[in-house]
Amino acid sequence: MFEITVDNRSDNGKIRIILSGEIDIATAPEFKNRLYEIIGDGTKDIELVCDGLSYIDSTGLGILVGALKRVKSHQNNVYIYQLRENIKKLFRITGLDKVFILEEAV
Amino acid sequence: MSGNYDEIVINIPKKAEYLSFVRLAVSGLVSKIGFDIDIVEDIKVVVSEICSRIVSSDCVTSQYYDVRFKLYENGFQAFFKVPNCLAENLFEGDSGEFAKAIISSLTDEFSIACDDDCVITIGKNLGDSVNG
Repeated sequence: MFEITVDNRSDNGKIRIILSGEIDIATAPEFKNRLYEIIGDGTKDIELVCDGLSYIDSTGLGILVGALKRVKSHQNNVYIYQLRENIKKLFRITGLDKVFILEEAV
Repeated sequence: MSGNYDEIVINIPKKAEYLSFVRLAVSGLVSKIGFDIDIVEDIKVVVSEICSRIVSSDCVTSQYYDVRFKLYENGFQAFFKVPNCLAENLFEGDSGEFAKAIISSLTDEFSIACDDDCVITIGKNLGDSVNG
């Protein structure tokens, strides 16, 4: 199970998305559809708040890279906040910690 | 890894919705050996990555697949028997590259041996990672 919600309280011009639960091959199709629907053509920066995200596999990481490519095509970026240590480890292993902008605090 | 071991085989439907069960099961098994919580998490991630590939592959025509676990006093191994075509395509695409990096990095043993079928083997030594 996972949840993806848009935090409309953010007024910094970026789209803030709250992720929680587990993203694996079972939930990846819905995650991809919802995420791409939210980011649209990628004309805004994206903020992913992940303190509730307990698991993500390589399929989920691939979807995040797809989202990054979409926003980068409009010179925007993806900021990822509050990753749990077990997931941050996967970003380091795959080199994605150098590709996304990882921040501790929103 | 050496010495006596207990062997556990689970036969799983080739459906994505059972991956969370696999993660839960493998966590329980390797916790029993004494791995600390971080290593348990690593093993869970690795096993789930390989099962994901099996579940999402068109090469595996059977409705079920087996995962064989060997629990030693000083470590753990898991064996996944897959068709040749899956072994060849196991690490294709962005997510395949990520999976390969994750599996290689988080295990002490990772190999794919092919004959008629292929067997993916992963292993983790207990080493200094002892809970409690």
